[in-house]
Amino acid sequence: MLHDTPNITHVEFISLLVAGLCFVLAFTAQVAELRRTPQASEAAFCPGISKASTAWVAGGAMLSAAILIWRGWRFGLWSLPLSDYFDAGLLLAILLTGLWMWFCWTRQLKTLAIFLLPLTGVLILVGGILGVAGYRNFNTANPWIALHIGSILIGTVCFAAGCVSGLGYLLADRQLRKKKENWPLPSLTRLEAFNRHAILLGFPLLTIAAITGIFEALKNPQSMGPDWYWSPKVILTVVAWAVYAPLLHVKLTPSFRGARAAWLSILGFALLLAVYALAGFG
Amino acid sequence: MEHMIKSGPVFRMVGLNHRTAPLLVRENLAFSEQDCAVALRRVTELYPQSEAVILSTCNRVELYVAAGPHGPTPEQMTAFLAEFQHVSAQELRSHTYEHENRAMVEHLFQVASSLDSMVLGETQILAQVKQAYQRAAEAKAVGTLFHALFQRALAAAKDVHDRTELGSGRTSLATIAVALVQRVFDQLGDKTVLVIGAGKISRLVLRQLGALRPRKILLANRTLERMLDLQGAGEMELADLAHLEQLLVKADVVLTGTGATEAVISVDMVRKLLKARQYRPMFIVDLAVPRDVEAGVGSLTNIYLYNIDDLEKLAEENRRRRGDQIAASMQVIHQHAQEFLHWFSARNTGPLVKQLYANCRRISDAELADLMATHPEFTPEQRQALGRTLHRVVGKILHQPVSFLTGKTPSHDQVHLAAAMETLFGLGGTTDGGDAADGHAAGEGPQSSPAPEASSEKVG
Repeated sequence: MLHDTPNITHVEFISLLVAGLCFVLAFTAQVAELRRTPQASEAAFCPGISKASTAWVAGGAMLSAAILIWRGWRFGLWSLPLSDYFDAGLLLAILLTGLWMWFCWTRQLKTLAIFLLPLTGVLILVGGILGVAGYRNFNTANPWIALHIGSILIGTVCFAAGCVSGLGYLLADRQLRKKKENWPLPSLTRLEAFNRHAILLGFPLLTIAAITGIFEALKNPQSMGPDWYWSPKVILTVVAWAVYAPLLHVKLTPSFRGARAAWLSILGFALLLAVYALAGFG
Repeated sequence: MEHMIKSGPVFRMVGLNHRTAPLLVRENLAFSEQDCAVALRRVTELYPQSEAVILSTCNRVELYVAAGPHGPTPEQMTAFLAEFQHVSAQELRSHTYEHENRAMVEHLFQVASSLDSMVLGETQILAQVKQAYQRAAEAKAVGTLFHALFQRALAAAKDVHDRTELGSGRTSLATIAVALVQRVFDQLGDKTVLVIGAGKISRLVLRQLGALRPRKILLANRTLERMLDLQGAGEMELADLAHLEQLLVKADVVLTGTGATEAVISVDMVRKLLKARQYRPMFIVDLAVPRDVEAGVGSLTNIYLYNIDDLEKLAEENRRRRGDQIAASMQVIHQHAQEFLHWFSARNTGPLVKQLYANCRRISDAELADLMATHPEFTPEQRQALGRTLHRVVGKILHQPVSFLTGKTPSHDQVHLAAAMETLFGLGGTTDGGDAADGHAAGEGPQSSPAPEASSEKVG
């Protein structure tokens, strides 16, 4: 049952759901556009982003921004609010829209934009639900927590980019092995390189987030309990860190490349989502 | 030619292609250059006064025959192919198709124009048809009919490419192979290409890959001459095929097109090299028939393998996209086939018509002479008038059947009509049209007939 929490109103929550729906609709419009594009034509390598898809993404992003601005005004802030998962979800949606726009403007990576849309929809909805179901004040006045949250947010965008490039890689690999060309995708080497760069950026941020989180747990033992190091959130974070680590060292671990790297980047992102969920409900 | 008319069908072919037969069957039936010469000589020995051409490519094996009176039947042609290549004739029959006369002419024109190719619009088949024709000519298996027919086929193919959009975009196996390479590697500036064998398709692929400026091209082949022949394609380094494993460690793209009868690259060989290669992706294009690379290689980690049959799937997409050009191309082909058949008919039936008129006039002259003998009172003017009338009557009676025989009547098979006319009018034995194996004066071929004005117009 939906209740007004001290910080989230009905209208804000419903607006967030609408914003999430916009991204889902953008995804369906993009799929329809891709199906309509001639499959193996010279131009099909770079399929057009449909007007409908662009409109839905723009709608979702603007609505997310509007909710954040509204909340900032409501709280009397001169900056965007980052008080809990609700705001984090909205901010992530805006950041991922930026990534989507970059994909769209980068000819070789345009097809990846499609994978980003459902991910954005899921993240915004998870943020909204966590915000309503298990409200946690981030206390961003604490610089360690601000750094922790900031690292997580930007790191999540990097890992989302890694995840979509991993999905793209697996699809491209499958098409090549099945001797088909249903979806025009970037080359395997480009996808692999993009994946590695995304994780290369995200990994230090994840490390910073983990270190600042540990520091905060040691400083305030009551915040996560006495056995915080055995909590599922911490264990999953360590596992996610361990999953991403070999992807950065291709020369040392050459077997972790190609499809394996793609699977690991998807697994790592799934683990991070699980960590967020556990943190929200924990 | 008279005996050919009486024997019914003149042009006949039997063959199989990538649509009717799997790769294994095509591999077993494929003719090498030497095989072709031997087989053609044997055909002309077995069936004197016949002409023959064997078209053997990666995707098809076809035997074309212009048959004399004792020319081979389709069953005999299939049996010949099976016996020559030591395959089961019964199994072969389940994969073959056959065409006669007009259907065969149109089929050949379609093949030459790439309408029957795996990749619609490719131009490689045109060179292959030309090569097959030249090879047959060298083996002295080609006479007037096939000289004319194959020259017309080449002209028709060029016309199709000029007058339609069939040749636009990716058209050949080489361009498709290069496009596939680009689906794995974004650019080849830091990549090594290994070419094993120096076949024609490998050379074409290499030429296209050269435009992408690979870091290095390693060329491994058993014969130095052929390697040197390839060196004009770009920056290359000669390599020894004996060190194939080391070469595979370096290579990112492998093109194979050897004439080896057994696999050159095995699953075990590549699996053993994965670690040494640091699991780098490798794209292998196996353009050889029989295959150079074991099929299992394609399922190894980060290894992508395409052989001739695999390329067909992409070719089908190509075909679908260019489907709307087929109708326009077929128009051009019908036009060329019609012109060739008209030439053939005229060449074939000219002496027959001449003989028919001569016979009828001989009869009418004999009757006129009898009449004059019994009527000496006729004046010279009356005799001349009677003679002219009789000639006009003969001309009018013969006009319709002769027009049918020699005119542009695409709904009728002139060969059958000619045979019927020979029988009905008791002609034969005195014509001088020659036969398939005999040589004929130059300039008698279809090219000598003026091209229709529409030939220069864009179709479709």
